[in-house]
Amino acid sequence: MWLLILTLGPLIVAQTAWLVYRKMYRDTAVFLAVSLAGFGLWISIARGRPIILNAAIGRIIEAAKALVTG
Amino acid sequence: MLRRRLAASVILALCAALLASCWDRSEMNELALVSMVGMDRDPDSGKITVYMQVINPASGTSAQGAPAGEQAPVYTYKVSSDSFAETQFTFYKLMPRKMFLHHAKAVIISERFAKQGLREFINFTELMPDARSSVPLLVAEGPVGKVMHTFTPLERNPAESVTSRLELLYEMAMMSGRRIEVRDVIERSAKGEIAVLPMIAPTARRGDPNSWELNAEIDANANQLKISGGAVIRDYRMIGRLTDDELVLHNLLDGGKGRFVRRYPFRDGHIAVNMKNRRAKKKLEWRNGKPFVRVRIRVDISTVGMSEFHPQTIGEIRELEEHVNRSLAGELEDFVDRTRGKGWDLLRIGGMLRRKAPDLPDPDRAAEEAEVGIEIESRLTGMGNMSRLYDETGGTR
Amino acid sequence: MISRTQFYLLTVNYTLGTTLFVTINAMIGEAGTDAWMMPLWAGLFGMIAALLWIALLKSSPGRSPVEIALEAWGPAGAIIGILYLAVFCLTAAWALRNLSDFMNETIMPNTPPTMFHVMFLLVAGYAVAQGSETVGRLNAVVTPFLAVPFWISLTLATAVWDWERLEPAFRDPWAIFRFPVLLGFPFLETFSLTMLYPKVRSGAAGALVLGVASAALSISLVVFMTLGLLGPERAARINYPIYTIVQEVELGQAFVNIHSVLTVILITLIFIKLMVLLYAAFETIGQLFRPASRWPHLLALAILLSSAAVAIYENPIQNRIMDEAYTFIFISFYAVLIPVLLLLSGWLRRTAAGRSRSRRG
Repeated sequence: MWLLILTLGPLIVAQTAWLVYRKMYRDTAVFLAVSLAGFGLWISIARGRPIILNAAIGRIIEAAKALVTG
Repeated sequence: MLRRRLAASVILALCAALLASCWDRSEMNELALVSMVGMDRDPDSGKITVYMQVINPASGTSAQGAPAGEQAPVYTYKVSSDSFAETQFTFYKLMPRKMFLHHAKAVIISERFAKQGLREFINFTELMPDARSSVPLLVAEGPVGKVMHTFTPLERNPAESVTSRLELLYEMAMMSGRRIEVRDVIERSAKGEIAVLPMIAPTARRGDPNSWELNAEIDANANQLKISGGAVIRDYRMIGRLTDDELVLHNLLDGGKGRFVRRYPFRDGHIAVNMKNRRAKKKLEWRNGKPFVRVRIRVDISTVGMSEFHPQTIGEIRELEEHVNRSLAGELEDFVDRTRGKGWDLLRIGGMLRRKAPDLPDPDRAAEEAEVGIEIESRLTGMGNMSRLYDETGGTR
Repeated sequence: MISRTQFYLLTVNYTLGTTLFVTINAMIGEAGTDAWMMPLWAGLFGMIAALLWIALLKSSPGRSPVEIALEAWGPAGAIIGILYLAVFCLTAAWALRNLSDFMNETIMPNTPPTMFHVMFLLVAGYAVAQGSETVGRLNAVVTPFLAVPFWISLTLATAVWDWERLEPAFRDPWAIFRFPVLLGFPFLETFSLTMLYPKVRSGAAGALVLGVASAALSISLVVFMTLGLLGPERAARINYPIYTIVQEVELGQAFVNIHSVLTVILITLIFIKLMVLLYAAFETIGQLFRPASRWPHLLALAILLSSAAVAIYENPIQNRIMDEAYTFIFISFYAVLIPVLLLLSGWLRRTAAGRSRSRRG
């Protein structure tokens, strides 16, 4: 867990700081959105309960099917 | 510019570190090169015994001046356990190097294990990503431990000795077939067809078989391995044996392209005919709604070994060819009748029906009812070094 | 800008990428000796889908589907754009995970999967940052090094060819229609190449369709050879049949372990697929948000993809089960349904504009 924070944390923080320093606010938002999504996924993996993506897709499709037919 | 260089060097350094394959590296001198594998299973307790014959890299030319004489060319390790998976790792109680199976040349299984059924072993082998199924599989007569603990003269590595013998037997004598590998057993058994594997046995023992010094003896028949006979495998299980003679006939029918010798009574005595199989084709025909398998074999015969008779006229040539046709066809028909009587579909008629007539409801029964016709076409093409044999009576003719 | 040959080669290599890994075993398991016909049908289907995409792309020349969606539907288009970003990321994660599974199960069992993912993302990210020219040129240069050893290795294996393994033949040519998952993957996934389409100088349409056709023929030939070399019983059970075929190749007595050559070829093919997907994702971000910088977004994508590659599926068995249930729906949604809707809405808009113009003038 700490290994994760130690490696990814500085990367994300440093990159965000650089982007803010260069006043590229839109870039910062996009960067934070994508990398924090990745970071969140890594946290779930590190905690031993990863969000299994293809199961999630399956659930979405089932819900959509139920919506269409139901 | 500097930043880009810095970034590039960081990336290169990372790549170098990540490319070094640290986790999976294996140095050559950390590997145990397995050349032959032996397997046995106790029918009562179900315990599996695996033998691994490992090449000794210190033997050979580099062992000159070794204090206690020459080193053994191979070492055999033995491990017993309840399952294949456990035996795989229990070896490290004895073996100081990592097992490297990629160069294994032969697998030997005991006869009693073959009779119990090989399906579990086959599944285990195919599950392993690094074991190749293209190695010959041999059945050991008697305990496989004896086979694994035997040195061979002339060819220091027993696995090489065995595999080169199998090749020579195929090319020169047709006493070994083409389809004798693990994958052939898999394919044939998965289709319900029969595979025939070579059998191996240790020869008479004299002295201490554990000692490499035995190979200083002149008798090359003793204390070594002999390949003889065929094990009939169906559905991953050994169901019978073929003698060497029958093995030649079987390999001929199976399409083997080697040379072989048959001895037939002719005129007053016998002749030994050297033959080479040119083509063996099995064709499925239908007569009165029943399958008929027509086997046509074309052989080239040579007089090179025929020290008893030498044809001098065209008529004699034809007589010889006709005689060979009849005798060989008779032999093959007897063999086929005998083995079909035992329920062995060595001609793989069932498989042929499944391939050519897949809509048949019961191919196995149709295979049993099928009739077989064998036609031999021999042609005298080769000669020995003489145009006329030396006669019994004196004087010139 | 890339040439049409480079685009064609990209299409072929992209389609072959993971297919040679994951579907050969499945196809032979379903259809047995007639499995070589399945890629031909699937390829036909893929060509029709490609024509659909080409129609969409030609309606707004020089624009990628994401840009078309943004233009046509405004804010809803932005949502479609984000959906496509997610799709490209998921597909890239799949490719990465397939790769690390293959490496772990065959030749490098001890290496942590994340090492493979990060390695590939580093190289692919660098290539993508340089632009489409680099992507196209890299692929064009690498292709001979992939194709030649691959076919040579397979040809060397034909020493053990047996026509009997292919009998009985032509019993089940329509097998593919029972297994829609093979229709969807891999040919509908070539949709990702439409993000590169605007960057092709000329002749992109022909290159795309021809690329799909060539890939279909290649895959069919590979399945055919797998059947003839391994037989349907073994090929249906072995996870990576091509690897096993090359593993069992024996060139005389000395060259008995040439399968590492095939491993390198397969991982390079997957790398090309990853590169295209990463490019598609990067372009999508670029077209949606018009950022001023390059590298930070590649870094963000790398973080996201490295985690998604681990989380994308539990294990190959669960992946296959989920694939059979959902892949066709998932792929058809983004590769067929949305392009059709975009085409329709564009056509409706143009007819409405035309009618209003003719009414006015």
